[in-house]
Amino acid sequence: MNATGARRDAWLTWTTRAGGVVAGALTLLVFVFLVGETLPLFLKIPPHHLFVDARWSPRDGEIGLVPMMVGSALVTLGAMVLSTPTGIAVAALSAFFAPRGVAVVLRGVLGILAGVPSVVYGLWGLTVLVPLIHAVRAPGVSLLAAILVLALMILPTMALLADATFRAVPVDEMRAATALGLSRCAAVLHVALPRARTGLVTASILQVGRAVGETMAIIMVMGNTIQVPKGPFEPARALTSHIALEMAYALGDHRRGLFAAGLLLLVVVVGLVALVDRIESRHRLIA
Amino acid sequence: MNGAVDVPPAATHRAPILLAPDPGPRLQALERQKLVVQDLRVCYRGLPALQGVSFSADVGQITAIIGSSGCGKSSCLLALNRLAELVPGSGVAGRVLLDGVDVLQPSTNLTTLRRRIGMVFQKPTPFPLSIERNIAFPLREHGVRGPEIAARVRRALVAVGLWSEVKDRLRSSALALSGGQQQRLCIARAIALEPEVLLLDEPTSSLDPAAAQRVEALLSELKTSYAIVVVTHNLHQARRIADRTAFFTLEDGVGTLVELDDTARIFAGARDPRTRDYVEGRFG
Repeated sequence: MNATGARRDAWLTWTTRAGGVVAGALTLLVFVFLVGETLPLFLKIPPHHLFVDARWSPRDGEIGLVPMMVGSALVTLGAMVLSTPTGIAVAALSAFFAPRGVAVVLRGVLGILAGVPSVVYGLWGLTVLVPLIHAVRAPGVSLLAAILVLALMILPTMALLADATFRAVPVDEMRAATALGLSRCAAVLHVALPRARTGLVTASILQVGRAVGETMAIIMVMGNTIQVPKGPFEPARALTSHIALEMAYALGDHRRGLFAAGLLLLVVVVGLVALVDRIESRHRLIA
Repeated sequence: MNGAVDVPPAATHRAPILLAPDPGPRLQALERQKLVVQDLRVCYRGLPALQGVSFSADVGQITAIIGSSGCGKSSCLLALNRLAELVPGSGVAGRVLLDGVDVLQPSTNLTTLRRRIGMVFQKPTPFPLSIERNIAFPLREHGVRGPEIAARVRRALVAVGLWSEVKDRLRSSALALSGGQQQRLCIARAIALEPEVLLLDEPTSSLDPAAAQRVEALLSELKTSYAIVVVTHNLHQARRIADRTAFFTLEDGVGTLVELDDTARIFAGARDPRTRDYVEGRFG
């Protein structure tokens, strides 16, 4: 009994270790691959050129990623500004205010929405949202359309993560707040929110990662013009869309420029994950 | 059920052990008590958990509730400030008179009620805020404004003996306090609202002996200002701090009050054999 138990433990240890090594190696491999593909370009032009040059014209040797970086940053920022507070509000509704039955249904609906493929969100944006925006100001496909579609796409996951964080708030504390004669609202604002703060911050940072990496829904509604948009109604292009749209026919430095865009995305996402890790470990230290 | 106070014989019938043989003058005294509980019944999902509970508590006294686990002591306490109704499927019946007004009436303002009847739980429940904000924000929610807030925070911390320990770190997190300090902070938070009744549900059972002793001493000091009802598992504690002790037990699976008397009587000459068995450690 003891011997088989120990053997099973050893098995489990080695299987999980192997899994960990494979996962780590794959990430490293992707990184090495991206660097390897980009390196020849960096040897030809200084790397910072990519991030200060606003012109993208590979045939003339202009490999500037600035318009796409601005596009990605703006669409991510806009989507986060819209979806983070809304997601937290929806989660508070389901965790603290809605009757149990309603909360269960709400959670189910959010789960389904979180599973809808991004291309479907893009389809909806293209057929419903873009014509509406077009009616206000042409062309319709725009930074604004991408922000709205992306915000809507991110909202369900944000709400589900926030809901899980809220439901981890100790019942004792909420009861103690009620025992002090506090309203539900006051208890949520002063007890649940501070208690859930770390969880909410990490959830929203993870959503930034998703927003930065989203491709399909954005391609469909953003217009994809290579330019720094001067307003929300102008079309723009994100880094992800840029790679997806041009990779099929890119050669030489053109191709390497796209790999550089991929490398940039990877660095951003790794940075975000590291940030989450840091926040969580600091939180553990305090708790 | 209505008129139990107006018609003495009915009340006598309902709570035989509580009342003296001549119910007249005793009942009048009862009416003047801060908190009077009459025939309290609590059920969860239609199943009775507690029934036939009548007792009173007054300022200047600590009333201890003792009894084995699951005999409805906590349910009784939670019914008094109407926290029991937070449990889905719960029902509370009977009368809970605070200064003669039945708080179980639907018209009761719960915010006011819970300000007047403070409660402290078994596990310390400091909010994830600073020490000061733990006390100040409930005050603000109850409409206290301006310098009165700081004054009350200080008074409450002084009253629980925390002021000298925390006055230099009022803005640091309450979660960094020790268990005993956290529990005293919770008591301070409750008394800052200037309640009339203080309910405590096993307030020392998650504390180490030294911290428990401090809380006990504190309760003895506070009783001059509040009517205190404390649920405890610890018979020695009831003996040390309570003026009156109520013994609860399970009868056919339903919690009930067996008897309530001066603490000395309960421990040295209880009328009911079940009480004698329990305090002598024969069961529970």
